[in-house]
Amino acid sequence: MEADIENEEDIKDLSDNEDVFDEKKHNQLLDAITSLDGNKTKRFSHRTIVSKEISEFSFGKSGDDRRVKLYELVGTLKDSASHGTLKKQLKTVARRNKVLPSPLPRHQKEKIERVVAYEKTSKDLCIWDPVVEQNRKAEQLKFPLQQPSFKLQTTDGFVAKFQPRTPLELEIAALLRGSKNIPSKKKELTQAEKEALRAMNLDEAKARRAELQKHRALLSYKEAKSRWQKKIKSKNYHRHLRKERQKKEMKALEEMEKTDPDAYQEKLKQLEKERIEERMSLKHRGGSKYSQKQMIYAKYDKQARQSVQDMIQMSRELRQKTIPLADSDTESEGGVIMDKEDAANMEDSELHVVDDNPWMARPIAHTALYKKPQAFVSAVITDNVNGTVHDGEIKDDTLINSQNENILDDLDNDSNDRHENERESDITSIKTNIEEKGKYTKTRMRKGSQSKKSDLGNEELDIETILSKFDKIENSKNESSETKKRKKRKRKRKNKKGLQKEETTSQEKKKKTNEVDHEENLISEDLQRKKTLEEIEDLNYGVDSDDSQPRKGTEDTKNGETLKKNTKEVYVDPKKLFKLETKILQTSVPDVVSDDDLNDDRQRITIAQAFADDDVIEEFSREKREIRDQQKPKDINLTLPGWGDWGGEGIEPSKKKRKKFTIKAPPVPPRRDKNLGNVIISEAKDKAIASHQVSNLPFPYTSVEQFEQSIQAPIGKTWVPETAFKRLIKPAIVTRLGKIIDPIDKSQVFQNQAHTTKTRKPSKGKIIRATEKAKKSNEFDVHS
Amino acid sequence: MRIKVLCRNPDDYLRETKRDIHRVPRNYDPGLHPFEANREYVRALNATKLERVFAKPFLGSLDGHRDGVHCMCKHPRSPSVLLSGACDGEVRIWNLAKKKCMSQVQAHEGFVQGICSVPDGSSFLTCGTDKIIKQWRLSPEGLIYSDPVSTTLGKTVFQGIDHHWSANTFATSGEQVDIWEEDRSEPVRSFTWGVDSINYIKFNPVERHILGGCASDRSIILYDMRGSTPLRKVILKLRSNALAWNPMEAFVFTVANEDYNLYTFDMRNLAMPLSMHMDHVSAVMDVDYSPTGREFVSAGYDKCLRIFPVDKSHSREIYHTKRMQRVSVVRWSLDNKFIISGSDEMNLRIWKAHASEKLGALKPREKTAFNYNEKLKEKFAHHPQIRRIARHRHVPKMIYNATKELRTIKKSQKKKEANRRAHSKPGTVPMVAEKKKSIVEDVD
Repeated sequence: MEADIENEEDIKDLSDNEDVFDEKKHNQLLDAITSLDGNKTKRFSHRTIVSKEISEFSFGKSGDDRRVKLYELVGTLKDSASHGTLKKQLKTVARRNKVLPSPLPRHQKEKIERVVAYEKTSKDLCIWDPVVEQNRKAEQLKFPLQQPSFKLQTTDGFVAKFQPRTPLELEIAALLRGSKNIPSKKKELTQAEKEALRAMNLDEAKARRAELQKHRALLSYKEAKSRWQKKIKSKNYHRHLRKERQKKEMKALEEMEKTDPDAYQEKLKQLEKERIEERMSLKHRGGSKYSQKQMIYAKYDKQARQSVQDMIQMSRELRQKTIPLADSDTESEGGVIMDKEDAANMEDSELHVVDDNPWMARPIAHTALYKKPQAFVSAVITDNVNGTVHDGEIKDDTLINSQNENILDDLDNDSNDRHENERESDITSIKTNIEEKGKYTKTRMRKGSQSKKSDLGNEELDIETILSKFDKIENSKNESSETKKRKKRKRKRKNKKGLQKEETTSQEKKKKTNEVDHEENLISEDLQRKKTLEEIEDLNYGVDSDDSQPRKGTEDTKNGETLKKNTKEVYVDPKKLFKLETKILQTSVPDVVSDDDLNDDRQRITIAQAFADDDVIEEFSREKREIRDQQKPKDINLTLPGWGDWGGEGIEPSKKKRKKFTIKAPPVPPRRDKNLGNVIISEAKDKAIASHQVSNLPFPYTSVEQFEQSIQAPIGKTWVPETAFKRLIKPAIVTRLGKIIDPIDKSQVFQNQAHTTKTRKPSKGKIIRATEKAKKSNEFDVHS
Repeated sequence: MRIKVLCRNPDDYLRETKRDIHRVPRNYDPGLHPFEANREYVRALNATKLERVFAKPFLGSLDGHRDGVHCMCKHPRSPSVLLSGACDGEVRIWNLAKKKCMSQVQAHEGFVQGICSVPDGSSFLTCGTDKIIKQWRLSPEGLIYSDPVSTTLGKTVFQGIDHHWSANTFATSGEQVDIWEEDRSEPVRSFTWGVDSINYIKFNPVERHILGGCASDRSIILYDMRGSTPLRKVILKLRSNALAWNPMEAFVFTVANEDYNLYTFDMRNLAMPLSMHMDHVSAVMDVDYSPTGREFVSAGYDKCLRIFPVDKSHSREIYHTKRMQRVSVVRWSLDNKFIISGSDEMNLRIWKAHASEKLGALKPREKTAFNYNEKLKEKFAHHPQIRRIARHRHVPKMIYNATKELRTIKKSQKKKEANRRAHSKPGTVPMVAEKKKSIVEDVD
């Protein structure tokens, strides 16, 4: 009230422009008076400075009638024009004047604070949801979770991080950054190139640009090629590469011979030196530890074998005297010319030396040609001696063989010099010859006794192989003709050079014979030939298939015959046979040859005799029927004779009643052995097993089948490959003794997650959601 | 006559070198192994039997305290060091590997109410019934410097103490919860809610500003260290004695209650616990999580330890010995391999966390065999014979009888409730989940 009065006074004060100090003194006096009577209500003591700004705080809430209303006060100012601004201010005050509610009691305030804080914390904690879920579902967790990373730093990563520090580094960096010639990945041209282009006219620029592009493309191709070539691990490939290189070098050497004789001499000397060194060392002759090891492994390992071969080849190449070069050398110098015979002798002696060494593959072919047929014949003879065969036939066989061989030899020797057409006709004629002979032998074979079969088989085989060989020759005919032409060209060149004709022809002949030897060795399956494995395998396969084909047929017929015999001899009631579906198994394994048919038959007969009286099949089916009937639920007949009817001896209950009072058994599900003729499957529950079986479906499974499948799927190494086994037995939690496991670290978890989301991993939806949540919670922070 | 023989390529079955393993050719076609499930079943059975044979969890006891052990603390950086405080005010430092007491100090007059270590393990804090907080320096070998680094006098009795997981802050509980900084003698902040004292306080190891406490008015209270007021409180039927936060899941904690049960809560929903863990037959005094967050161990007045998987309501293991009395404190070691319990008869005991686990270095084959056996046990866990063996535990007569009695009581209660439900108007006796029954009120 007093405050109101005071306000009134204040306003009066303002309106009347009275003396300020007097008013203040008056107020103090009033205060003193009021404090005298002990009423200690505090009053606002206002410093009243005359101003146009009016404090809004001095206008209290007027709940009383006696209080002065604002509009009353303003109303008095109606007429005075000078108070326009004041009125405006008062209006705005009136508009804005909202009274604040009184503060809540403490316990209520705290409650609200708690609720807000709790909700906020709960929301913040939601970012953990995906992490927790992921960890709970994880197949395996390795603790501690923060394992140190063993990632290798990539070059790009290092470059990105690198900061030049030392003056040298700074200088280099400045140079590099300042250079206009640095190509960037995004732009096609460098700065310098662009400038150069600008300087040129359009056509020139285009041409230049195209050139540049081409150059760059070529560079990149080359780079890519060399990269992938470097990656190729095949030794074979690298060997080829090396060979090619060597060839090139040889060519270059030849070139050098013409252009730069001095350098050529140098080169030759160097080669000679290499040869000497090689002869001195044991490097490629099994001296090194590596090669010794390889020798040991060679028994099992193809690659090791190959490497041994390579090594030997290398040593031979290195030790070889470069004869043609030497020849040409001598020729050019006009020195001693080697005689034809001398050369042959030398070669022969070399061959002899080499013959002792099992690894020296090439020269043996030469001698083998002459040794082979005789050896073969002798083998046949011994075979025949072992078996009981007439002499005349042996002679026949050997004759045929030797004839074949002779024909072959003739062919080999003659065909080289002839024209292709002639050769072809020759081949065909010889082929027909051989075929006729084959037929002849075959016919004889049929006539002959069975015991000779095997030998004849051999014979047949020979013929087959020879035929196949002819086929091969025919196939390679074109190729050989080409090579021949090449050789002719070479010969011509040599003629021009002034070599003696006779010599060359003899040499050529020798070469050719060598080549032919090669081909023959393919068939003889000599491991020491320099032939690829594939070729040998192909050959084997062909021979085998040729061999096996007719045999199978004969066997089939044989089987058929025996079957017929069996049907005649063994007693089986045809009506009592079980109907069984025949399963045809597709196997690639050919049927086994059975030579002891007689024995088998005898055995079958004895078995049939032994079980002559037993009708097993009938007995079995009867038993099965019994069991089936026994286990079938039966109808229950509840009719009471005499109930509601006449009863007594001889009186049967009526059909109607019987029908009415019988409870029909429910239909049985079909037995599992219904369609299986030869088994009885018991469908009764086994009590002994029941105690070991699961009675209720365990929790995570939804159906019995599912559970059964999970039990059926094995884990053990015995039934599952090692890798799968390792995966299957992975423990869910891995901890290590003595390794402290710290609680999950928030900063690290979310730092990692942020990192993963940054570096393109949208598949982890959870994590993204988590980060979103985190973001939201952050927003929440901002709002609150 | 030609003789056909079966021949094998020696390369298929011979070793290349002597050190190579033997080649055992296998055909994994399931058609050829009709008895694989049966054979695995037998293996599983044997594995289960062996597990029980080798289940010898007790590793040793540490004696030396002259009164019951009241509190315990793991060294945060060294798994072999353990700190324990007794009812006579003595603090001892133990080396678990050597099973030896490294040092001891008379820290307080009366109980050592709480003990906690600073995160780097260089010192530890104790509080006692003498209203004093003391900070002690600890050498890496586990030796205490005999004079405390700092001594803080409080106005009231402290009942619990716990240190922040990374910062220089610790919290005490008593009549109110105080947040202290190590270098100040006055609390930075105090929380009060109601008049009852808070007997246990624990920092959340993941969200490190959150605390959980157990009050003597049967409530569990959550605090945020940064705020001015507590967060929330839930009142249970009986008092909770201890609280443990899950170290891998920020919002999950478990309390050990006087009503023989443990309750796992999600702190965002206190109205209903996630699960109730029941097997104890007396008040549960302490609980501690394994550092993997998958299991926890509890112990109490029924003189035994029990290990519970977090998501299961029954224990997977019970540890007891004849001489062990009421267990007041239990801790799970930081490498997840051991459990340490302290009991009224002045002993600390070391147990294996997995009763049949072989400790020490394992050869790769051994490791594989153990893993395989574990998987087999898991696969055939539902088969009655295997389950029977795996579940079988020997318990003292006291626990056996008490369990039986409790079962009878529960049965009769259930029956009574069912009867009441059957004989009253439908809907008047609502079905309430067992775990919700113990919650009295969720106060905000």
